Amino acid sequence: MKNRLFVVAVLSLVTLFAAACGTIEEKTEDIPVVTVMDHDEMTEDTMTEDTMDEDAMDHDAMDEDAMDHDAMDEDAMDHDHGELVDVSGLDSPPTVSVTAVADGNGGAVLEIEVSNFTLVPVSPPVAHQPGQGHAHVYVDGASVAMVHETTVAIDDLTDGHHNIRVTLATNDHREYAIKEKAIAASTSVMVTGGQSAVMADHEITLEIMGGEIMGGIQRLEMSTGEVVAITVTSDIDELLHIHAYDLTLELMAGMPATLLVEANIPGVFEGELHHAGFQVLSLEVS
Amino acid sequence: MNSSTVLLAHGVGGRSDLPISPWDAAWSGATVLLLSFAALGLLWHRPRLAKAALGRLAQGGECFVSSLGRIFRALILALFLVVVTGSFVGPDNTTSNLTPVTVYIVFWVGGPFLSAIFGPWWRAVSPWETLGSLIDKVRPQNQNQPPSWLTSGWLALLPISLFHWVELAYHQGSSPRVLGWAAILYTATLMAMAWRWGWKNVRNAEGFGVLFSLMATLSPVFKDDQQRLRVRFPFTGLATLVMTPSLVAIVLAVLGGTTFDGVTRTTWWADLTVGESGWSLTTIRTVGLVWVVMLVGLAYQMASRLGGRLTGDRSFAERLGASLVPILLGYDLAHYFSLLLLEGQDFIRLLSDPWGKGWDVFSTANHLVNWTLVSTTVVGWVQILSIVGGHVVGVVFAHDRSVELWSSRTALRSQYPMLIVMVVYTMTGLVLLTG
Repeated sequence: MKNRLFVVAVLSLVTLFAAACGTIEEKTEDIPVVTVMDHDEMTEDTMTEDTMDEDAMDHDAMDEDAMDHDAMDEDAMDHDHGELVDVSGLDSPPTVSVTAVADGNGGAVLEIEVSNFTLVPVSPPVAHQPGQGHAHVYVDGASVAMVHETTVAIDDLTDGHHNIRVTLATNDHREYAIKEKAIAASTSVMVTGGQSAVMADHEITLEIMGGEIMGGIQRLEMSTGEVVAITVTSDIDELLHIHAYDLTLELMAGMPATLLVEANIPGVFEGELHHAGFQVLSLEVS
Repeated sequence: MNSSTVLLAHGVGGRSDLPISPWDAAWSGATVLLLSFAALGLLWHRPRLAKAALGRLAQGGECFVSSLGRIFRALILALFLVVVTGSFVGPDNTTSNLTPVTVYIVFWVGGPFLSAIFGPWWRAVSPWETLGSLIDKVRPQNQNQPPSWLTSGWLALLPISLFHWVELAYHQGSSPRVLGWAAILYTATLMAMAWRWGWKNVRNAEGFGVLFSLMATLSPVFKDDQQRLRVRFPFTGLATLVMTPSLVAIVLAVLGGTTFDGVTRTTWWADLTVGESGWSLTTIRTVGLVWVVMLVGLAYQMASRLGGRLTGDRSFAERLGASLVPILLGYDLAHYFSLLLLEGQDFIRLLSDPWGKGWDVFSTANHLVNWTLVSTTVVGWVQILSIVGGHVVGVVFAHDRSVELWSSRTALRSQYPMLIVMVVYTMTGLVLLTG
């Protein structure tokens, strides 16, 4: 008898627990989560595109493709792992270089140079032709333009350092790559005369050279609601990761990059270099 | 990519606690002193705890508890198998594998807390108990005399020390694969020994079980000699605890490890180890861990020697050793309370997909850690109160045992060395929390 009572008690407990889990799930539903699923979707898209290559490009498919780029760029670390066309086998593979000059008016002018490559207009869409395509322009990791011109003006930038990255894309927006690394050129530009960047209450500047932090671990005490601009220059490619806030900043060798962090969780949080695996900064939010 | 080697302090971690203000710390240190002295001399002239520890019978509780025990025994064994397989099958990454959060937070932090609340639950559900009693059923019934190194109880110190080293010193300590191998090795060794000498003897070597049983004496729930369920006032069970030198050593080792964990979270330590990674980091941390454990142990042993001289009792360290148990619980709470409630939430997410196959068994696979579940104010107060509270309980127990053992004048004198150690521990504990 007691046993039976007990079973009833356990069942009701389990039900309660399940109900509680249900409410937890509902709460989190509104928050968008960037998950690994994106990669899978992307690979699928690539596969369908491959079969589509034979036919002329379909406009809808291209739009979808462009959307995928946006999704991809949100997760800046992944832009090398997207859709690549490997040209490692070529004797003289395409190359690209880029220089950027600030126009003093909140913009920058890029000079793009390519070799072993033919730049063709993005529109109207045409099918993939080896050695042919356009350039993708990224600013601070976000895709801003697809161009076939060699001189490109970018406007409406905020004051401060910006990373410019140019990749070579096929007519169907995959990127040419050598040994799984996109053929790309990067530079940085100091923009002046534009909108001032988001008002940061604090600034942290970090310089990492030879596996060491110049001036040691940077510590900052700040209040909730404040914004800190973390500018990092590393002599090798790295990834800065802020714990719990789960923010990452991709660092390209020798180029300063800036991450804005709005302090909305109180506590002490470490920032570490992902590959080297050591702490470089700590934010004390109270 | 070596994403598995992402360095996370104390095994796993995201949000660290805000340093508490030195003013609060000093204030609470003073409180400890006052409360201790008051408890010592004025109010407490005869032993009270032993009588209180008898408790009273919890009518009808056995049936409920034993059924619950059976269910949880099966669940825990299943979880154990899922986690161990998951440490090899799942992603080789600290944050997306179930193993690190289960081992370092749910098991290592949750286990002692649950023991202090619910008593000897681990003994009832531990996968090693389950497997060990299975071995007992099938093994040949020979009467191998267990060797003295097994029966002495000192062997339990080994798994605890190795665990601490992997958690706090080894640079690959949060790698699921490392933890998986460690679990397999530990289980295999225990079972091989159980095959030869019987689980009854090998139980002494299961360090975690030994530690959790010590914590369980703080609980208001316990089982008497006739296996009947009884309840008593929390902490009074300490009066019934018989400490051996090996048990004292285990508690001191864990206390030292927790203290070292606190040291590694100071800015001083961060500056000392800046830019270090890999084996050089492991070396520095190993030296630090050994040092801190030695210091903590040495402080206790020296006070015990002094106390032994004052009372003429050679086993002073064991007689009062039980007072270390509530202190350990206090340290644990202070250091890991927020870890359990915040980073521990990741267990909910990962349990739905234990092998990284994209499953969503309990529809919690998208659970995000709510980093503001407990406010920093609450965490700060829990830290101060648990450290101070743990020491107060320790001092009260030590006093109670002293007046039981010795004449009141000797008893009071015997307290001074212990009181000094407690004050040193309290101050150290609080100073570490001030960052």
